[in-house]
Amino acid sequence: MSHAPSIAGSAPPLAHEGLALRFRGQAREYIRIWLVNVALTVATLGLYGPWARVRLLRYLYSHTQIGEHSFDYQARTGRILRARLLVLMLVAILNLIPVVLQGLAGSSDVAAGIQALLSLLVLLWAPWLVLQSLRFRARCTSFRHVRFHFGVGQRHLWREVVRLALLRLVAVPLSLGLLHPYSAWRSRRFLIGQRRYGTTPFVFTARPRQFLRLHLRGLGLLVLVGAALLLTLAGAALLLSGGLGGGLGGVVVSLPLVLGGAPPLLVLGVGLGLGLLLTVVLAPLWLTYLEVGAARLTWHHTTLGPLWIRCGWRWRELLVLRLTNTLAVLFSLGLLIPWARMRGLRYRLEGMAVGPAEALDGFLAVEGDATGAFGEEAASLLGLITPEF
Amino acid sequence: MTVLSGEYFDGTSSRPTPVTLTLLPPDRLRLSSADWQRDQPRTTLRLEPRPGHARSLLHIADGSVVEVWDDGSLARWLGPQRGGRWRRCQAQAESRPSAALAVIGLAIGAVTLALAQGLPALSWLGARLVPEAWDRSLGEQVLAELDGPLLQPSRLSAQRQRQLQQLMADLRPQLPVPIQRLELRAADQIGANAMALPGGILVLTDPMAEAASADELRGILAHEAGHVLHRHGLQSLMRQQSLNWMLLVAIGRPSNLQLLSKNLISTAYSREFEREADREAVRVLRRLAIPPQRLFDLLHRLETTKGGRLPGWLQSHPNSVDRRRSALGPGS
Repeated sequence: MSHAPSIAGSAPPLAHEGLALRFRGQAREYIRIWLVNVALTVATLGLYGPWARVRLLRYLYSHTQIGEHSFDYQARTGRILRARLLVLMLVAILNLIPVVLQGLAGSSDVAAGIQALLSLLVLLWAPWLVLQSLRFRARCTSFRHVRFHFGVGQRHLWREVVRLALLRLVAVPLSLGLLHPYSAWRSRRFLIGQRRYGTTPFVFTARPRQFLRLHLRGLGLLVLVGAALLLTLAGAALLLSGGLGGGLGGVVVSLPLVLGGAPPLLVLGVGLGLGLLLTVVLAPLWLTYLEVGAARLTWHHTTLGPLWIRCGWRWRELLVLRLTNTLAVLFSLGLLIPWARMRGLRYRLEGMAVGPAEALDGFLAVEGDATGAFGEEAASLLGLITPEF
Repeated sequence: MTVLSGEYFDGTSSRPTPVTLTLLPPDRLRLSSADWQRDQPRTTLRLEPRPGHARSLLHIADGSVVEVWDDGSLARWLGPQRGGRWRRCQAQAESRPSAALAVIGLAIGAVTLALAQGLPALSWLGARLVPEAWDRSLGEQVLAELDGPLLQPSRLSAQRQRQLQQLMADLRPQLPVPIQRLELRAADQIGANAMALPGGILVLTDPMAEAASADELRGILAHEAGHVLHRHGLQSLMRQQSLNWMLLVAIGRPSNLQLLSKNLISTAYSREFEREADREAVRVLRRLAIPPQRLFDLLHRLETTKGGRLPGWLQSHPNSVDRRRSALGPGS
């Protein structure tokens, strides 16, 4: 099992003692709950899905503690089921309309036009669905029986959803990734800044340039590690291809020559090696570095009223955890997925701390804010938002 | 008199208050903290156990909550709760290995039954319900879409084409279902093949017309007529759609796992359709006094020239030996 990272490296600026998060879920218990709930969901053609989801999330939330108190996930299963059935019915109708029209009109052009129109309508609806989903998820989460909320009393939040989507899907690719740090910062500002615990809003104070610096450092790391690995690989190839050997300088100079005159098998081998290197080593390394960096940056610049938040993740530890998890899942043919998930969760949760402890007592709950499950169901089904489990 | 300890939350603030819970006969619960004490009638209380090893929640009608480790005495004292039996069943299925195994076995059985019986029966019923006019217009559309990318105009001589059309015309009264027309096509990518489109359009490719003798062609056309009779085109469309839905609901968003299961199940259905059409072909050939073996000889010939065999469960068509066996019976 993983061990918790030490929080000591990121000592809180306040004199009060903080509280580390604890995760008390057990892989064995979770596997059984997971298997039974997945089986029931499949057997009932998805009808049991809402119960499965609530029970699994509830298990995870109620085994996550700050001090002696756990989080809780509370959703009315009947409402989720009703929302899901409604969404499925709507999707079925949307799919059936073009088919029926085609049957009636006998021309596929009309049907294609209608299909395009319907897709456009769904697309226009998407920001609202995403927003409702975020609201629903926040509202179902509580700590010490005070609920979280998202975007309370904000009427034009969908505009920010549209801006974020355009930024991420259009501007970032057009700028060849240059705008990615800004996009990462802005979506975090949105996701955290609109969140409340009871009446208290989360405050996010990180600046875009801090995210830019993080991404530059990530790029530097990528180049360094990539170059080091490449040189090692080239050296190995050289030694194998005839012992031309020599110093590193020799390798760099003669690499093109060697590859130019090398047997095709060797070129192929080097190409395969490079591809493997890229997907197995460099991509996880880079992604993990950015994930950890962004998480630390985000939490260290987030406060909740008098409460500070710390994140003590380390990218090397998380990288090792991720690689071993992948190997475990691969070699167990997927049987260890719940185990790997628990391990990852434990590391991430137990690497977080909040403080000062006495500040936890002073939060007040909000009355009202009843967000239905429809947005959540529709957004999950359409793939607009990542599922919660 | 049972005494439990827990923590009280008033639901409006995040401050916990340590309390002791005293079960007073006959039906009152006394909550006492360092500062206050209140008695709560049993009817205002609702106990909610949580999965795993987390404290149970005792909801009070005014919106406040007590978190408490219940050793069972509280649940007994409260008696049957709304939805309590359902939650107990869930908890037992999750915690007792035998119950868990039973649930998983049941799930596998239900899925198998749905895939082997439910979906085929539904698609058969669905195909019956579709008006024939729709079926025909669907067939025309499919042909229009295949023409060009996959099918090209036949390069057979006009005389051979006439011969083939005559063969079709002679065969027509023997077929169990009206056939609209026979379309001849060159198909460089598909090779020797024949197709039945919804609404009764048969397509025969040039290589097939060249490879098969007259009797074998009759067998092939009868086989395709079998597809038309059972409306396999529509049925497979419906099965594909329902399968998409089932997988979407059961597995969630599109993934490789979803694609793989869909392909495996679809090819199994396709093999079933082939066998059904084979049985129809055998019936027609027997009526014409042509040994049905001819059809399977042709299939075997085509199979061996194509080379490269996949294992049976990955193929959309069963191999010729299987097909002969299932159409004519073993030892034939």
